[in-house]
Amino acid sequence: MKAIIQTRFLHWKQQFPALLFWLILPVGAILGFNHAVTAFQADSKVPVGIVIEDQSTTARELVDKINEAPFIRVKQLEEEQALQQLKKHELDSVFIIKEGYENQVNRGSRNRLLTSYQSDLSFAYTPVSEMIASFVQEDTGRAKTAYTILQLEEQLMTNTNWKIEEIITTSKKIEAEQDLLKASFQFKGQAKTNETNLKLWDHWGLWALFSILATFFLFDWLVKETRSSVQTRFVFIRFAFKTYALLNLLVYTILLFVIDLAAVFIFSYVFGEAINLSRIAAIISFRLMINGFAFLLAISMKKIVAYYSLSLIITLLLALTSGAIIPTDDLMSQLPFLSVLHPLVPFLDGLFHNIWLYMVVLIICLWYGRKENQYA
Amino acid sequence: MLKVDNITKAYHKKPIITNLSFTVQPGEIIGLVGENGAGKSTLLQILATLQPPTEGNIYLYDWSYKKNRKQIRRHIGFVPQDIAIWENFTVRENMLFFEKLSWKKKSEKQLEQLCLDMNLDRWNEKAHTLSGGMKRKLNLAISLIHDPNLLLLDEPTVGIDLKSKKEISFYLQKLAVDNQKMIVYTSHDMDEIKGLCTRVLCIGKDPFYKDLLQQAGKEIASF
Repeated sequence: MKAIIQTRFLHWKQQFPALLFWLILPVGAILGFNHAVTAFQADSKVPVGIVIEDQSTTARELVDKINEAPFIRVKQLEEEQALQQLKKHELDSVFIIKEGYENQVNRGSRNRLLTSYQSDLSFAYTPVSEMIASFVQEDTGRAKTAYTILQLEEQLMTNTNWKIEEIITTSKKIEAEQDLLKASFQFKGQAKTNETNLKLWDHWGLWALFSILATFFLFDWLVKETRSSVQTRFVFIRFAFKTYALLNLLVYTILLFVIDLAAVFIFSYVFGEAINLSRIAAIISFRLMINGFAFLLAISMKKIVAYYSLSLIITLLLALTSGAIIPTDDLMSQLPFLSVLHPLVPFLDGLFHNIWLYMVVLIICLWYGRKENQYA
Repeated sequence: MLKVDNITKAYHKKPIITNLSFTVQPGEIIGLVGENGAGKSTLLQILATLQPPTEGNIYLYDWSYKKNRKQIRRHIGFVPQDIAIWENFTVRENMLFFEKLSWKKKSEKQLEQLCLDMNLDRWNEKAHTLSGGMKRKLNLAISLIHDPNLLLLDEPTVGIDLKSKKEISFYLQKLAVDNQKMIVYTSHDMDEIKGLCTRVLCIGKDPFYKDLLQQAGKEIASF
């Protein structure tokens, strides 16, 4: 094995930039894509300045709600700074949460809680101000409800001793529990969620596709070495070519699995995803399957251009049918066998068992055990 | 000693080699000549265990080709007609690559000396930058890494300059005499055959090569 690693290093030394490129492509592409999407989303959001004069909990909660709005990019500034940026049209509008906001809300006052500014180029002032007004109305409405309950308590002479904060907290809790307006939407392999913060892309799905492409291109050595004039020499050295190829498959599998594990840790750091054993088991299965498949494809191809072309076509087909990039729920419901037979679906579902893995392992065993046509 | 015992090779019942027997003693260089398609390369491939004979058997020392093929291969150095090297590797990397996979371990210094013995002094140069003659020398050097006792060369000097040809011939003669290697050699270059080989096997029906060699006073066997 040591000899195989040493000889492989001699090859890698020649193709180091290409090797590095294909190794980091899957993770690099996802991080790049994530960065681009985040930047695009940030650029396409309406820039709104918020000036907080009231340092109360209610005021902070209002800012948090505004922050959560998907089409708004909030900048917290001082009033002077905010108005200056508005003049320069760096902000679409400015909203000032006035001193005493919480007290006024708790008193049920709905007037002059906020001050807002817009410029002659503000295009989103009306919807943004209406959205903020609706948040304020939620707070004032909740406060008014609490006062009404306390008044009823007094009128009915009950001795519950509710506090206004308790009523408001209970009201928020009920609102969160009984929110019926949220829709459920998810990528293949992800559990249904009630989160309204939708993910626009599935990073593991996309990673798998880039990994497939990178693996195909990393295995081009096999096409080159199988068709090389050097083949004859394998008869007179310690390893038959099949053994040499298989041991190199092992070397590549270990290398790529290490890179995959690095991806797990990087994604965990970047996307805050928990590292769990089922994900790692699915990656092991996926890695073995795709390496074995690339190995078999490369060993059966005579021309490198044909191998590259077929690799691209296979990757594209998998991309279109896996549900990793575009939703394929309709396709899967019309062709249910596709979800059973598709090589990527088990990985996206976080499963180890994959019929393709077993098929690939079986074919490699048959290939290795088959008697050579050559007398060698 | 290599003993070829009455071998026949046929493709689709058409005989290429019929009832061929000869022996090669240590220190001997045997030339194989004949017109194109006469079966020189086929015979060399049979001797290299790359093809089985249809009939008959071959023995290297006491080992039968039929029963001890894997063991025999450890003692064979085969120099294919196509240059079998990694073009993107340096001479050093090529030698190291095949040494790592070889039956015999050699130090880098020994590998370099092997190349220098045949005037291949471009140790750190990429193979694709070498001249045809240098590539042929590297092709030969790789085949000698595991110190084979039987060296089979399929037109090892085709298409190279006279100086490189002479250097390779000189090296092979030295190898046969000093190291008592058995060498079987195919070539179309009759001057080379006449100068290098101790005995010549004429393969095929064309008397052209036989006549030429008789004039040079070589010991000839025809098949």
